[in-house]
Amino acid sequence: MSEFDEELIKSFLEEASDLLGQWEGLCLKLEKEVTSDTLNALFRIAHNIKGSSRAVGLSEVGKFIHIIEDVIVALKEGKCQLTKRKLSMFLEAQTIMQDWFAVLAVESSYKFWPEDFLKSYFSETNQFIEVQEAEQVIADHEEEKVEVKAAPQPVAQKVSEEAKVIPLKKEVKDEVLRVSTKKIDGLLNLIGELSIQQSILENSIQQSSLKDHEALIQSSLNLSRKITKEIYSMAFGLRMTPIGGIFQRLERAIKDLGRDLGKDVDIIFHGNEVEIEKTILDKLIDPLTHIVRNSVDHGLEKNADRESKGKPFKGQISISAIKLDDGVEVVVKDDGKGLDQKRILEKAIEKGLVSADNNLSKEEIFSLIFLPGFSTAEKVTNVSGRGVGMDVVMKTLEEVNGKILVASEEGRGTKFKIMIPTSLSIVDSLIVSVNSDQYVIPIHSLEEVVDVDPSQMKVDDSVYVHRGKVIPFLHLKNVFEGHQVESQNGVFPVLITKVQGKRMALGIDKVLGQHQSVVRTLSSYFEKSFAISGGTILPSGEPGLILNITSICEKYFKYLQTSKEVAA
Amino acid sequence: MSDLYEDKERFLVYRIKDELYASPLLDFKEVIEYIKPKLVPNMPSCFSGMINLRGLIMGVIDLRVKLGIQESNFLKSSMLICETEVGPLAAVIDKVEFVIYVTPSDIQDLKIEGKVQIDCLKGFLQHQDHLITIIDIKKFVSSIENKSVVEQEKAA
Repeated sequence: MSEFDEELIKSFLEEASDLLGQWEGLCLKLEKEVTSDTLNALFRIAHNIKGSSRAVGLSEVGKFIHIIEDVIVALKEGKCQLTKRKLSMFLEAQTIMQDWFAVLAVESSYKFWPEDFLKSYFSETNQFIEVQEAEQVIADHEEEKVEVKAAPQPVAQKVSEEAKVIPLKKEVKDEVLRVSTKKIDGLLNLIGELSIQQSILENSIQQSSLKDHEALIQSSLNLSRKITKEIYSMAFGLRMTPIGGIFQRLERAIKDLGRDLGKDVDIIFHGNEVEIEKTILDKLIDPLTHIVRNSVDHGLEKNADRESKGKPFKGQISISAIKLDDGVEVVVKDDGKGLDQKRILEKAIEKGLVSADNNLSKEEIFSLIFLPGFSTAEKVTNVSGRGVGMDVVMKTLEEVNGKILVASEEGRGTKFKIMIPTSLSIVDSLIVSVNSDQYVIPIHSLEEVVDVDPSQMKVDDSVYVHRGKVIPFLHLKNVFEGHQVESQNGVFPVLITKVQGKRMALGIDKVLGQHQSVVRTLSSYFEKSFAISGGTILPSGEPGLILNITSICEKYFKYLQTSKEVAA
Repeated sequence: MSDLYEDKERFLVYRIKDELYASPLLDFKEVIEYIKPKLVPNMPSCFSGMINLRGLIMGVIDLRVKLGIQESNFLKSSMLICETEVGPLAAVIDKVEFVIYVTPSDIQDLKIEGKVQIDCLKGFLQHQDHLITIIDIKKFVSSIENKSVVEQEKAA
């Protein structure tokens, strides 16, 4: 296959993944209400994929979608009615194509034919087979009289605004983002402005007497600074995509599972427009999917059970995103039976995660579900028990500096609250000095900073008594070689952090200040040092290192463990 | 003029202590004035720290340490920036000498185990009265020393 052909296929796949995302949205819409507009939009997408796939030489794709398209045409023309079976066929076809295209993206010569799928839905002559007993016509809210005219083209407009759903491929380093032209135009405008200010400055300097132009130069400098700042924040905005993109996928996950389990679920979304950096958004998909699936599977009761308890017939799951000062809060709430405090505790004791004579509060008991090796599902269902527990959810979120909390009330429901930063490129951090070198520590990795008198250190300075509790202590100057500094006298600051549920105190020489650090990736050469997670440019213009507090503590815990074993 | 240099390649010749070394010119992204690197702890000894080059943080490799030269009163005049497999790195040298055009056949392919590992050594070149060692600079700066990370768990 020539390079040109591959290029063509690539651009087709990019377009198609957009279209398939809309396809999914339209199917979900059809489930609620059948309108000719929606059917037309679905038809256009199918037709579009068919046309472009044939144009780039993917004839199998064209053949496949043609079969599906026939069903849509029949629906459009009112020759048959939309049944649940047809709808699930549409959704399944979407999944098949998504997987199909994901492989094509890596290997463009991939040959595939969805034999099983076609067999289960279509006759040999590619006629759709209805299964009589499962017939349930979805209410037709619109009269057939609506003529199919040149329908408006909401599809084409939406494309530019929406983040596309690309299958996550590890090897693809350079991600493609869809950015609205508005954002780019704004950026170009500002850059144009900036160059105007620059030429004003250059002109003034060429004039013989600078004095006359002082005011002009001053204002031009001020303007430049302002514009630069705006460019900076706008350029950052380019990486942001609205969270609404993944809401649709969640809706699908809930609907699919609800259908399988025979639970009717109402879904409410809030804050679709809240923007998050793409890399973080991608990391949110799996944890959120896991949580909502859990809610449908374990949280919500069967519809009949709900009625007998005096609850509304339909279970409700609400997912909302709220923009906060320091990130985004995503709340997933269900009105199901809630977490079983007693069973969680029993399970945790049985698995040896806590001792039997514990004195845990309600919140502490709930948070046990995030511990590795904890899973309440008695038998492994193929729904939520796929070896992925809440501990993985927590871990995935921690990778993007996120946190998760759970609250629950028996009989009333469960609420998960996820807090994540909007961007991984800027972190609020402390600049500290150790061995007279400056280091940057992300604030989110710390619980508090306290001033400590050396007399509070015990056992050879290896533990520190913090609010009556003994926690291990390590001075960071022992972690970093470098110019040694005269021994500490008097009070010094100590950072308290919590890693793997254990507190740890880290000594430093001085806190120099707070800074919003722009994270720069370091070349892999730096990976040789476990203590570093990234680089940044300090306010002084010098390069600085961002410390990986977690890995420092983990390493120290390991060291304690081995030295204990040696001693024993 | 141009066909005179037809199958010749340009090499950048640089000095480290008294020796001359050369590497293909196109292996370098740029040559900059020496910037004092900032210390990075727990790294191999030849890694002298990092610098901020127009917003890009890059590691600094001291070629003199890598070549086992102990003395500390160096010229420290320039850094050669190259894009290696492990990212951009700045190599500290004493002085950039000149650029020469070399016919590949003039390079004597002698593999002599010396300060430069064999796999980074490209051969030798006799130029006027100098003997120039040709180095695969990208490989040389990014090659990892055996005595890499100083495992300093605690001052134990």
